Amino acid sequence: MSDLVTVENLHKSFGGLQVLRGMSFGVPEGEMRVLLGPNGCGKSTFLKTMIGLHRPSAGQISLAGERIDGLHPHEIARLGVSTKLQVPSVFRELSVYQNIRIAVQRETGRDARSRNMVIDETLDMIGLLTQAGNRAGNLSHGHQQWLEIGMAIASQPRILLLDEPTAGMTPEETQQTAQIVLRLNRQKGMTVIIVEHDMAFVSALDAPILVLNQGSIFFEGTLRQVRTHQGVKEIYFGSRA
Amino acid sequence: MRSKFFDLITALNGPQTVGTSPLYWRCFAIACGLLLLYPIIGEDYAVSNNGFLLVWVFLGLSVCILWGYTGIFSFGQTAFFGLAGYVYGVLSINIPPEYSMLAAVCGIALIMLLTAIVGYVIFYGGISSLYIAIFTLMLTLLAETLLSRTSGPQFRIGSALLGGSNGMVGIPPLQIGSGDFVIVFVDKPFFWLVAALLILVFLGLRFLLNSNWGYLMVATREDPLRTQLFGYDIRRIQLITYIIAGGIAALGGVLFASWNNFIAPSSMGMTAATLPIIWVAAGGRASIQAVTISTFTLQWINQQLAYGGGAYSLMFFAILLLCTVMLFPQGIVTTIEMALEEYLERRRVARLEKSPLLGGRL
Repeated sequence: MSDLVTVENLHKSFGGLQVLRGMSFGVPEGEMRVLLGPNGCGKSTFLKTMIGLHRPSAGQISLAGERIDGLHPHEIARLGVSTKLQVPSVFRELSVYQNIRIAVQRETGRDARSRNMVIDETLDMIGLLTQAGNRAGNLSHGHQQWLEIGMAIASQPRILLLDEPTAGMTPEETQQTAQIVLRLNRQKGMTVIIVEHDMAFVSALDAPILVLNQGSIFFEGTLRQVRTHQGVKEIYFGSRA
Repeated sequence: MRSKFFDLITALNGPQTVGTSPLYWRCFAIACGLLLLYPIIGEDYAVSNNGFLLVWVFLGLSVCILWGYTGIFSFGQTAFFGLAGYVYGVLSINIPPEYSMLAAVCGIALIMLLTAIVGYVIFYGGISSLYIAIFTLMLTLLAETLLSRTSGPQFRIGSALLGGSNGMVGIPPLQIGSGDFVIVFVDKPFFWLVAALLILVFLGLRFLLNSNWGYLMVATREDPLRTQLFGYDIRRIQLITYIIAGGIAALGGVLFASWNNFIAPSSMGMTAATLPIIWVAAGGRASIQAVTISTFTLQWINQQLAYGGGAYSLMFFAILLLCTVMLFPQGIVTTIEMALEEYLERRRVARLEKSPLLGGRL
């Protein structure tokens, strides 16, 4: 199967600081990948470059064979790339319902009936149907994370990028988030790339892992292979591990 | 027919504006009726003066939809207000009076074109919000300074003398018709014109703010990055909103010049640029209704205080702004509106509880 996302020799520098150094990988359509790596290895920089917040210094990112690096964030989003950022980014003053409405109204236009149907379906999927009228800023941290995931998936994107989606969640919420992501990937066939630290969450996803170190892909394999790989242990715990 | 009427009312209602109940719309209809009937019973001077006070509401609404709904803090609306007055003045002086409405339309269109150019530079140039405030203030002061230096007979466009800091005089009032059928919009007709335009703009804004576009304006205010990540070009949202706001300010400027038969650079000075910000902050920046009420009321107070000297007026506005920021961050009128809404909701629940249908079991 050809790759939906192709990252080739991606470099990104900030002044003299090189964060991404020749990162390359591909993700076939309908598959999931987890990006792991120690702090400062370039995971978030990669996601920000992919969604157009940073311009790559060199290399390219393609979506279904079409280059997307250098496009504006809204242009990339229109190609079907949806993102959940690391810090919950919801419209705090608006209700949960209105948050999802803004996310879907580009797709549904003025058709209120189909819009409401999509909103209800999304709220049901993320378990916030009963909180539809509540102000988003009043939700718990975990629920805000779910709301942002809901906003990201409501427009039926081709690819979903999640930056630490379970940060600050309880273990129960983390497991529920894993179920939501699995449902999106396995039942809806959505391609998913996740940046995550929480090993319980990564384990529940049971997806191929890309280990990032010093701005390039260091190792690719299953969670079991990653756990037993000597080089990965050294990255996380130092050379004597 | 009935269904279309209810569809229209539904399109005017929504979470971005205050008041959705049938009681609200009944009160609104009564208020509009009283506004339009007032010139019949009011004295000429009072009607004319109140019409003049209503003109400022357009400027307040212009700042409100930019700052309160879209998060763009602009001092430039006063420049668009004043320049529209000048454009109307120049055109109406140079053409026969029966074409004064055309001069008004051209004045507003030209200012909207100017806002499009300024807005394009600001939003597509990626200027940050702090610098937008500084840039638009510079624009206002630049317009005032340049127009102040146009005294002398050489500064004329056709028959219109720009007049330097003394301003342009002899601007004809708006009128429609010619020959035997002429309505000149002065005194009572002017009040009717302003009131009708204000009702139209108010309802138009309610429609806009509760439409998909209104949601995008609010989303841009709340979180520009998040809005972009949904595929919306926020530069386009900001630019179009800026042009609409510029058009509303320009409408106010044209009406101002028509009422006054005069426009001066002081209408774009530092004080003039600051007052709309205070009207909007004091009323409640995220409510067009609050801003309509606060602008009219504060301009009336401003006028009363000005009789005793300009310094009292400025002192009052400085204290008012301070009190608003410290005690009513959502705006004084908005705070009252929210308290009233809460009271009505409590009364509705209490009535439901006593309802025999529910047997007091709620």
